[in-house]
Order: sequence, then structure tokens, then C-alpha cells
Amino acid sequence: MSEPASERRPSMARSTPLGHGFNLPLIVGGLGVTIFVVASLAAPVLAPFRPDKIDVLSRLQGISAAHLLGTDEYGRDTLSRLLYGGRLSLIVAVIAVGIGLLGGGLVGMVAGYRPGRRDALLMRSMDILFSFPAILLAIVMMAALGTSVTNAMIAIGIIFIPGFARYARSLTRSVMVEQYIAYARSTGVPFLRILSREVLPNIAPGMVVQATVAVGYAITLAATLSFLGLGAQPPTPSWGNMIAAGRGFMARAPLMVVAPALAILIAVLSTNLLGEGLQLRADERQSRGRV
Amino acid sequence: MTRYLIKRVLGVTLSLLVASVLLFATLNVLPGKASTAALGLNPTPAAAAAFNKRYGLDRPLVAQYLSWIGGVLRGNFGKSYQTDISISREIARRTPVTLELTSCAALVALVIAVPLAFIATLGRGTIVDLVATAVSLIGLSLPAFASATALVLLFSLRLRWLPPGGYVAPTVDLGTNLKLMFLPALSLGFVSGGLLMRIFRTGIVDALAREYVLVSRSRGASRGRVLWRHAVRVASIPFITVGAMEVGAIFGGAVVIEQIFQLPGIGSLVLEGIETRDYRVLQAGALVITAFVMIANLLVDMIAAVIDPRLRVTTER
Repeated sequence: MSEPASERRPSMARSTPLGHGFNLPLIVGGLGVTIFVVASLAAPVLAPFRPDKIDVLSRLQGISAAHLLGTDEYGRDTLSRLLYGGRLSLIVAVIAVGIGLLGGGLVGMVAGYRPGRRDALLMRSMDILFSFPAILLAIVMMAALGTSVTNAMIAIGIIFIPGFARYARSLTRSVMVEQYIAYARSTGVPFLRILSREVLPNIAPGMVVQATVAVGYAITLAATLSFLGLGAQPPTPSWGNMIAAGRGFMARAPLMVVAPALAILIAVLSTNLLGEGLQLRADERQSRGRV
Repeated sequence: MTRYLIKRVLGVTLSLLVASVLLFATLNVLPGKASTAALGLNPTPAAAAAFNKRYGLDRPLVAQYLSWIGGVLRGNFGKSYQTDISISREIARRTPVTLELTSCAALVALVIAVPLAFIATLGRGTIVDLVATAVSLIGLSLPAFASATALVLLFSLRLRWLPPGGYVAPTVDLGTNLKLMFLPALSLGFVSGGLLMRIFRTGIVDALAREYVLVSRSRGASRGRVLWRHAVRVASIPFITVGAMEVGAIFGGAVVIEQIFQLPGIGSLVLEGIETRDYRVLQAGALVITAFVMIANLLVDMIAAVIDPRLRVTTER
């Protein structure tokens, strides 16, 4: 139990078929993530309808020229709702990972600065936070904080803190043994300045790779919370609440659950692949001695 | 080994106590919620005061925590704010359901991960490897609630092979019980199975690339012997480490899966607690699940320590 949370979705580097000299995960993942980000940002332009436009005469329809992915129980256009839901997923995931990255990065850097009681205390508390199952912790926090998208971001962000803290700590420890740190300390450079000027720039690239992988996991957590009714509230579309609503109608309109499920799969898969690709590239560079 | 065991058991006990403080603090930061939920939106001050007095909510938080945890240590979780039934009895009734679901899911994860990893390793770099990798990638990228919904759509609504939900105790009718458990366990185990397959495959491939494998082969050891003696044993350590972390993921996922398939386990008790804003139920269910996860983690660590004696020392920070 000493790996960071983001390693719950582990490295596929070195293990990827066709991985030699040709970074397939990076290309496929990068392409998928680009499409996901562009579709989310351009949702208002791309969506053929408003996501909340009710049309009772065309409810629970299948694929048609007017509604490429059919309609839901109120006759709302599934494609439009999917695009807006994706936008929400992206925002929630990125902000949540940002909270985890900042909080965990700070704890990890302070803990890794010097071994001792402070380090032990910080990492022990991270261990305890880590020992709660992620989804359960998110559910309990949502119950305490109240149901809203903002609170979902906070709850998911807190879940990511221990993982990032462990990773930042191990990176910081490996930076702290360098000679330039010893030099800076001996010339009296203050603690915070060493962290911000010397440690941070060195651990940032590694942290960003971990963050990429974490975004995929954040999307699944956000979708799970809103599926349980603890995230975005209807009529605001989210991938999770679309599947929750669609379950009641999926015998007649299977697209209501299949479309958002595929959207989650593609978004998370692309993010995971991109993270793997970045990791693979970093490993290759390292083995060639370029970093 | 005994020393290590005692140390770990003490560690888990301490962690559980801290976890209980955290849970209690998180759920009790907003006072007055319990009475508001139980008595309707605008209870009269007298009714609220009577309610608070009855459940001891008028005492300081520290006293409330101590009496709660004191009861928990004696196996008494108190009574539900909403239904007034004993939470301990509810938990005892629901524990077997959750344990059956999570063990079946763990079994599914292993049945997916181990053979698929071997198939992928033996066909390294071929289309077989690519397909096995794709299956595991889909598994670890699709959240359990989404694959559960897709499985219900396919097997219950389209093919009509399996029921979409419900529960029958195995002591009543084992056949029906397993039929009802199949889809929940499959969707829950698929996520961890995909992840574990990747870990195992990477471990085996890495180990096979080591020099001692080449030496062993050049001395005339067969491929199978090398694979078993060197690769699998080395690869099983990261496999077990990640497996221990997946125990938490499976128990967490069970909360969602129990809801989807209407399984009366502890996970659905937690969600019922949220729905009815019965924080005492929620608190109890969350603590019990966390305890299961920590105990299961301890068991997995013990297995790892038996396989690799180095772990008995290096787990010290």
C-alpha cells in the first residue's frame, strides 16, 4: 500500500503491444482527448438543440436525421444532452484533479522536504484517508456537504489528495538529495523558496503525467456520484444522471443508456491512453538518458 | 512473522478508530440536521428539543462520539432515527449479502485477470495480445454502474437469460441466488479484473526480460519452468499489492452495484441512510464497510508477507 492513487490506474508503459518506436497510446489517446475537449468546449455550437428543449411529441425516439442519437422521455435530444454532459464532466474532473494536485502536491512536498516527525505525521494521515474506499468517501462527503456540482468537485478532489501527496513526496525525496539543494540550504535560502524554486520545477512534469491519468478516474467518480443522484441535479444533463434516467426506459429506448455509457468509455479510455503515452515517452527519454 | 502480525493488527485497530473519528466529524459538522430530517422541515422547537434529548443529540459532540463508539465496540450501533429499528440487527442481516457479492466479484476479477494475462504474455506482440489488452482497457475504463446497466440491458431485457435484480439467500435457493449474483459480480469484478490483468501481464513480461531468465534458459530450463519459477513468482508481488488496493475499490463499488440490482447489503443501507437523511445509519454502514476493507487488506498483506519475506521488514516506513 505505498503507491499513489493515480497508480490505481497503473502504468501501461513497456507493456503496450506495438509499443516499440511508435507510441500508439499517445496518438490514440491524444486524438480522443482532443475530440473530447473540443466537443465539450464547442457544445453550444455543436448541439443541434438546447439540452433542455422538451418535445413531448417525439419522446423516446431512436436514431433519426433530426435526432442523431434519439430522444429521451421528455423528447429532449440525446446528442445535445451528451455534449453538455461532457462539458460538465470535463469541468468537474479537471477542477477535482486540480484540487487533489494542489493539496496533495503541497502535503507531499512539505513531507518530503526532510524525513522526521512532520513527514511521518503527514503521511500517516494520508494513509488513513487512503484506506477509505474512494466512492464511499465521496458518498459520505456528499451527504455531509449537500448535493451540488461544486461539492462533487470538492469531494472528488479530496479523494485525490493522498495519492498525489505520496507521489509528490517520493519525487521530492529524490530531488532533495541533489547537490544544488544542499548548496541552496547551506547559503540560507528559506524553506518555502527552496520548495517553490528548486523542488517544484523538478517534480512538476511527473505530477502532470499523474494528473492526466487521474482525470480519467475523476470522470468515472463524477459520473458515479451523479448516477446516484448526488451530483448534477436534473434538468442539468450529466452522463451519470442520463444513465440513471435512461434505466427506466431502456427497454424502449436503449440509446438513452448506451450513448452516455459509450461517451464515458471513450472519454476515460482516451484519457488513460494519453496518460500511458506520456508515461511511455518519459520512460523512453529516461532510458536514452535525455532527461 | 508473529511480531509483524501483531504490529499490523494494532495498526489496523488504530486506523479504524481514527477513521471512526473522521466519519463522525464529517457527518456531524452540521448540527440539527438529524431532527430536521426526522421531524419534517420545520419542527417546533419543543419537538426538536425532545428529539435531541431522546437520541442524546443535546450533549457536546465529544460526549456523543464517545457514547457512539463505546456502543459500537460492544456491537451496538444504536437505533435508526427514522424507523427506530436496531442498526446492529440490520447490519448483521445485510453483511452476508455484501460479503457474498464482494467475494464473487473478487473471484470474477481473478478469473478475468490471470488467464487473460497468460494468454497475452504467450502471444506477446500479436493480435491475441492486442485483443486481451483491449478487453482489459475497456474493463478499467468503464465504471461499474455503466457496465452493470449495459449488462442488464443485454442479458435481462434483450436476451432474457437473467433477472435484472433482486435477492434470494443461498440457504433458501442456491441456484436462484447464483443466478441473481451473476450480473452484479460480473460488472463489479470487470473493473478490477481489467486493471489486475495489466499489472500481471506487465510483471510477467518485465520478469521474462531479466538476465536470470536468460541464464536459466541457457542452462536448459524449459519455457514453462522459467515462466512458472521466475516470471510468475516475481510478477505476483505487484499483482498482490494492487490486488489489496482493489479490495477497497470492490467494496466501494458494491455500494453502487447493490443499489442497481436491489441487493439488500450494507452498501444499499448506506444509500438508504442518505436518502432518508438518517445519519446514524449512514455512519454505521460506512464504518462497517471501511472495517471490512481494512481487514481484507490485512489478509492480503499477510498472504504477500508469506510469499515474500522481505515485505515483513520493508512495510516499515
